[in-house]
Amino acid sequence: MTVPIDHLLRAAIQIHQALTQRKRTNNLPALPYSFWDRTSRSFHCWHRATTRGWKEASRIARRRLDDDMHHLVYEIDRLRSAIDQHHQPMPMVSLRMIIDDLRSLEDEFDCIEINLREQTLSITTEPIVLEEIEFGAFTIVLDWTKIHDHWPYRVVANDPHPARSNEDVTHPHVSSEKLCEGNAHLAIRNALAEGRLFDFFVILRQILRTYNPSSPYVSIENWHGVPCHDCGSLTGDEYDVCHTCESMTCFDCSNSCDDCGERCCGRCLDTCRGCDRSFCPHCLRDCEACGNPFCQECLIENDTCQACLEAQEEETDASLHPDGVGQAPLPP
Amino acid sequence: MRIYFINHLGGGFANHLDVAEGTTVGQLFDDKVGGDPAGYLIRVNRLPASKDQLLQENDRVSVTPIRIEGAR
Repeated sequence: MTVPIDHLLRAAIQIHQALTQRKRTNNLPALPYSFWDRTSRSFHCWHRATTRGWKEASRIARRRLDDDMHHLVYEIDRLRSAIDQHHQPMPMVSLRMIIDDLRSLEDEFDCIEINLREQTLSITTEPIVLEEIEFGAFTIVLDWTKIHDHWPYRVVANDPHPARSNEDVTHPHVSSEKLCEGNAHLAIRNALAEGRLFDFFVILRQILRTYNPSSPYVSIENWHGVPCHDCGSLTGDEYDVCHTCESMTCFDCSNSCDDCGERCCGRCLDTCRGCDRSFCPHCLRDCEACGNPFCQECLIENDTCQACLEAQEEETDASLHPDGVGQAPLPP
Repeated sequence: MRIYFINHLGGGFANHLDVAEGTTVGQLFDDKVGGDPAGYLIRVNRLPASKDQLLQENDRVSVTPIRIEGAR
């Protein structure tokens, strides 16, 4: 599809203005407070679960904490590069270069669209197929008024084939129309800052054409199903959601708590050491003396189990009658 | 002669370079990137280039990996 030349020129002029009239003070980077808050909450969850001896809850909390710490470090790295970039001189961007880029985009992609009213430039990829799974074509929409912002573009699935477990994930590396740029983050920022629109769209297309199995939102092998949190097998349309950790499990692996009846995964259910029945973490409490989990019925008094209570009574008796039960010591 | 070289491997930095007359695309790739060129989109003035293509004054050369890994 060929863009009319007057349309192309007007877009090029507006993009050139957006690139060169940047006011640096409007675009100062901010500290990643929200990521810090999230990491802090995850840390407290992990700390509480670990100090209370909830092994499975601790393991799950640890995984969330790892994720949040990873994102926090990523945001700090990005902040550092944003600060560095802010102190670099403004790159020289020529109108000629932008026009050449727009013309080359027409040759490179089947569909390019310029919307002067919305001030967006869009290209559409070919249908993306990764490891025999079809994801359909994607449209990359660049809002040139936000070209210096954190997210100036969206990646929209034209005919979405989302993951069964999360309809916001339309590609292993796209969630809620945001592409996780991975290692290409700096290359993308540099291309945008320097007005290299052709490079920007080509890099994004290459990311969409590539599958990184080590860090997808949803892996390709789990695309058409929901993996059971416990056994890993793919579930069909029906599955349980664990009341405690919210993970999805197959019916074979989930069970009901014997007290509240809520469905839980096998990792969150634990056995009462008194009656051997299964309970969720909310319906179990630790014995104050031995620390083992018990249901409410099996904790006798002062949150102590029967065995510990009997042991305490024996100790008490022994200290009251050190030489024998109920007998006074004989005179010498 | 001067060319404009953009290496999208890593940070995607763009620089003006001085290269000798008669330098080919393949020689520039070996010098600045290295490895197997089959893993890259190598373009001169935004068009795909062969390794034997001679560079000209003010050429715009870009090297983009074919596989660029996203994350989550």
